[in-house]
Parts: sequence; C-alpha cells; structure tokens
Amino acid sequence: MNRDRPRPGTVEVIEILERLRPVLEWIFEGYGIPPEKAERIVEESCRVLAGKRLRRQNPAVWLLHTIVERCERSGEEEGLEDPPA
Amino acid sequence: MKIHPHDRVLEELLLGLSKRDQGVLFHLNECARCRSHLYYLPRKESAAPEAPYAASLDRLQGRLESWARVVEAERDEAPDLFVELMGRPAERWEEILRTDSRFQSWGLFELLIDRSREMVTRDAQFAEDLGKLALLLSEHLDASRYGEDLIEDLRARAWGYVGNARRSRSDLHGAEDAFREAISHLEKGTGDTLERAILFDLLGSLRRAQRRFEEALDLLLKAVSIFLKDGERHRAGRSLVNMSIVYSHSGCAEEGIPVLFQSLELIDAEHEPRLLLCAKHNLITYLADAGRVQEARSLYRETRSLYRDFGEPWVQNRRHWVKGKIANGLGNFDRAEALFLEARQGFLAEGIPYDTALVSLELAHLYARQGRTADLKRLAGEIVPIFASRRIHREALAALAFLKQAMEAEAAGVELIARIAEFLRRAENDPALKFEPPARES
Repeated sequence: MNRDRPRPGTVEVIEILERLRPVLEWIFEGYGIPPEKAERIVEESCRVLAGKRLRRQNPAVWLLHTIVERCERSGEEEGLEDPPA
Repeated sequence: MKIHPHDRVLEELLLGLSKRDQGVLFHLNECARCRSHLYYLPRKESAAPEAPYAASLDRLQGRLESWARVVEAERDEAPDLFVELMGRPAERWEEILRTDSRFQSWGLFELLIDRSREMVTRDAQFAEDLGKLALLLSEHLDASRYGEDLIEDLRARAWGYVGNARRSRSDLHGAEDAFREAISHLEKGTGDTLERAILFDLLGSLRRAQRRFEEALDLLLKAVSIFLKDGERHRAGRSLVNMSIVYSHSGCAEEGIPVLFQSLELIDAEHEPRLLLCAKHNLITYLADAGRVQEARSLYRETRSLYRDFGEPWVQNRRHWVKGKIANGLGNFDRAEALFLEARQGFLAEGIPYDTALVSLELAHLYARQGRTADLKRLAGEIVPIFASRRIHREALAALAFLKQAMEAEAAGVELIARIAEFLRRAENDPALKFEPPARES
C-alpha cells in the first residue's frame, strides 16, 4: 500500500542547491568557512542526499541542517587547534 | 596641470563635448560649490561585492551532476541485476558478487538493502540473507568512486535491517550483535542524521522485544526529535506509534493514548495509509480498554472508510473485535457478543490462536457478567482447539487450562476471567512471564 514519493534525484538536488545558494553563501561567510572547505562541505552533503534512495519528506531542510551542522563542527574543530606561535 | 592649455586645446575640448557636457562645463565656470566638489570626485568606487563562494559552488555543481548521473544509471540497471542474481542458485550468489564486476554497483547495493527491509514481515530469514548479501557486496564497491563514508552509512543500515529481521525471528542475541555492528559502521559514516534516527527507531523495537522499556522509549524519543528537526514528520509519526506499542507491552497502554493522538497529526496518510490505520486502530482499542468508550466510538466512526480500504481478514477480524469492545462498553451486549463471535470465527479461520484465545476471554467475561453459565461451559469446550496449537507458549496454555477447568466447574467469575485475560495480554509479549493460579472465587 506504500506509495513512495520520488527520492531526491540529481535534478532535484541541483535545484535545491540553486535555491539554497544565497543562504549558503551567507552561512559560510557567517561561520568564516574558507571557500575550499565550503565546497567540500556542500559536495559531501549533496552526495549523501543524491546517493541514497531514502525517501526524505523535506530534502531542502535536511540539506540546510546538515550543512549548518558541518559548519558548526568545523568551527569547533578549528577552536580545538592551538593558535599559531 | 601646471601649464595653462592652449586656446586650440580648449577649442578642441569644447567642440568634442556634447551639448549637455558643454552646459555642465559652463555651469562649473560659474559655480564655486560644484568646482569644490570636483576635488573629491569621482568618488572611489565601492569595491565590487566579493563572491568567494560562487566559483567553488559552480565547480561543484558540474562535478556533482556527473557523479549523480553515474549513480542513477546504476540504479536503472539494478532491478535487472537483482532479477538475474535471484535467478541463479542461492549457493552461487556470494561468488557472483565477489567475481562479476557488473554486480558491484551502488544501485544493486541499495536495492538489496531496500528488499531486505521490505521482506522482513513476509520472510525474516530471507530479509536477513538479503541484508548480508548487501554487506558482502559492499566489500567490493569502489570506495574512491562512491565515498567510503557513504558506503559505511549503508552498511550501518544493512546491519540495522539484519538486526530487525533477527528480532522478528525472536533471535534477540543475534539482533544485538547486528545492531552493535550497525552502530560501529554508523560512527564511520557521513553523520547523516536521518540514518541515525532510522537506526534508533529499529533499535527501539529490539529494546521493546527485550523488555528494556525505558531504553526503548529513550531511543524512540531521540528518533522522533531528529525526525522532526529534519522535517521528517511522517517518520516521526511512525516512531510515535512504535512508542505507543512499547507502552502497551509494558502494561501501560493508557500512556500510549496521547502519543497516538500526536502521531495522527504527523502521519502522511497518502504515503502510508496502513500506518494511519494502525495508529487509529490501536488508539480506538486503548480508548475502549480504558473505558473511554464514547471517544473510541467517535474515532471508530471517523476511521470506518479507512478500515474498508483494507479488506483483508487480518484487518477485518480486528475491526470486529474493537467494535465488539465498544458495543460492550456501551452496554449493547447482544451486539458485542455477535461481534466477538465474528472476530473469533475469523481468527480461527486464519489460524491465529493467541487472538482467538483473547477474544474468547472477552466473550467469557461478557457471559460471566450476565451469569450465562451454560454458555461459559460451551465456550470452555471451544477453547480446546486452541490447545492444539504450538504457537501458544506453555505459561499461556497453563492459564487457559486453569480457566477452562473453572468454567466447566461453574467457578469462573468475572474477576477470574479478567485476571486471566490480563495475564494473557501481558504474556503475549513476555513469554518468560510465569502463570500463578489465583485463588478460585467462591
């Protein structure tokens, strides 16, 4: 009886990314994430989204939360490092 | 310019200007204020807004598209590969996955895991086999192509489904081992919160089966919280239904009532109408058992059309049973009796001894309340076929045998029947529960 909704495919993930892009740039700037690291964070998150057949009710919300969490983690990791002598 | 320009230069300048610019020049000649402004004009243009992320995100988009195209192509091929694999002898599956590179694809990996999840209610052993095949296949996937952490996520899920299949076969030790593996892979994965919540939900079911109710509720609550944060309302609703079952198995079904009401707000009926029916049916049952019969009746009326959508005996027998409970609670005993008998007949026909026994006790309770000893004796005779079943454990059989004797001796009162029924309800999910014969009523 399950009527699955389509899982987020390539097109949907790219569309979500386009839609979130201005917010993402703002978030990266806020967390002070360098562009290369931002690129890696977005790529890893999008691969998780597109790479799983999981039905997600709100993929955009998931992507945004995931990226914000990774930015937070990245900030915490930076904070753990000793300042340069 | 320290030297005054020659007239010819001035003439060339004037002739080169448009009418509008000539006007501006003559105005400057007259206006000291505007001349003074020239000292700080033109203003330094504000720096173009920096867009340090634009180039990175553009680059990424192209890369992502080509990667996802590969994965999608593999997904398209996966159903054919699955059919081909299943068409080969089972003892060759492992060898094929190890040696034939066509089968070493992300699409088939995912499909095996999905099939493992889907098969658990129909054939738990096969579900476990499929999960283990997926895990074997994962050893031969190209980590540089798919990402090691993504593979770890799916390994965690595959182990989770293996654990769930083992739980449903009552192999609780095996299930515990599988979930230990699942957690260890999850920790090496991408950190996908949805994956974590799915595992918490499955592990919650294992803790329920192990009768570690507090831990079960804790895990399910964590799952609900993650699902809601990620906008996964339907999955949160499902975990809430799971929580209500934990309450029921722990003997506190009433505590499941508000939880089920909350789940109704979240479940996506279009996506999974069966889950909605399950939540509503359980809620009606708990309300009726708690004596909240008017609420149960009102919710039943709302749910009638949903019950009709699921015509299979499993659903319809339970519908008759719960309708009987409502009629009984409303004092409509003839109607209740007819409905209990209909449900009982259905359970007998379906070969479900435990539910046959439970609904028989509802009938016995009804007869005892009305002092119908002849009907009680007849019912005692009808309980006999239940004893032939191997699907009722020893302690529950002992309780039923005790009741049968009491009914035949006309010594089964309302209280005794209610106590035996309560014991059977608890023993259904706790085979270790010991039956202690109560002192017979005088």
